[in-house]
Amino acid sequence: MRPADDADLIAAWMTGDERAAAELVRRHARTLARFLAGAGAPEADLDDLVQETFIRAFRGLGGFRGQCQFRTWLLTIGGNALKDLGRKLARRRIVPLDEQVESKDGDPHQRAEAGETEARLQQGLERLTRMQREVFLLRAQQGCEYDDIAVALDTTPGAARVHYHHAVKRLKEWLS
Amino acid sequence: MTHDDERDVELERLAGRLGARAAERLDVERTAAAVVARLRAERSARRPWWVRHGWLRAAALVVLMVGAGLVVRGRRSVDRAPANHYVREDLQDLSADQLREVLGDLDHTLDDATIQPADEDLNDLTTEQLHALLQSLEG
Repeated sequence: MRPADDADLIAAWMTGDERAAAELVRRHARTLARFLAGAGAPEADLDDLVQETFIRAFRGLGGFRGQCQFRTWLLTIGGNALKDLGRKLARRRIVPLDEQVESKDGDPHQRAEAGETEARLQQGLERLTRMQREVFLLRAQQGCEYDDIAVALDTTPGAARVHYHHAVKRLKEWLS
Repeated sequence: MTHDDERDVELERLAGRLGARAAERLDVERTAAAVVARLRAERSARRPWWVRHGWLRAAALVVLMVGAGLVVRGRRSVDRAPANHYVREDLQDLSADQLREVLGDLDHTLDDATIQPADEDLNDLTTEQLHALLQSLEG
């Protein structure tokens, strides 16, 4: 028996099957966490952000027509949740938005563990525009197609390619 | 492969590893359980408050049934009232001969065992007595 694909699980959840919702979370939670961490989410908030993203996605499933892959759609919702977290933290005035959400320094131990080059890449990503960062991560980290990225980010495949090209150029400059 | 292409490949390799350690530390089962619990709570909160409590649903059902029963009984009694009124009013307009005729018809159609007055000679009764007799038959 073939494993249920995302569309089957979504349809099952829409009729109230909680096991289908849990399976969707199991299937995509790590991918989402990787994307969010790459986009600069503080590790302390990662679990909450993943949960919040899934909740928003399940709430919005009525409007999801399979126009792109569920995973790509989910990741862009994660990008919005991360942006909202940044705003919330900024309102609390704990630290400025850029420093908190984009975590330039982060935990020194984590940084050491991640390796110097990865840490440099993370810093480089934080210097990109949000669109460049998300297109780069969706393409380079997640292997998404430009058509899918374009639909999920409400842009055109051509524009997505341009954002990716600029992101790569700036990151290479930053790393060299 | 040019030096620039090599750098592109290296960049994509690095990007692929980005966030991998943080993601590995995520407890996926716990996250799935937490998400499902929140979804369940949201669904429950969206239902009307009286649907959420079983005893309230049962109470509402009892109230509906009792109410429906009262309405049906009320309708039945309303349906009967005009018939009673109609017969009494008609009796006032009848003459003694007409009243005797009605009683004579009743004598033929109703069961003798239940209608005792039909055994008497109707011709000996006055108009008032005939009215009283018909009204008593009416119940």
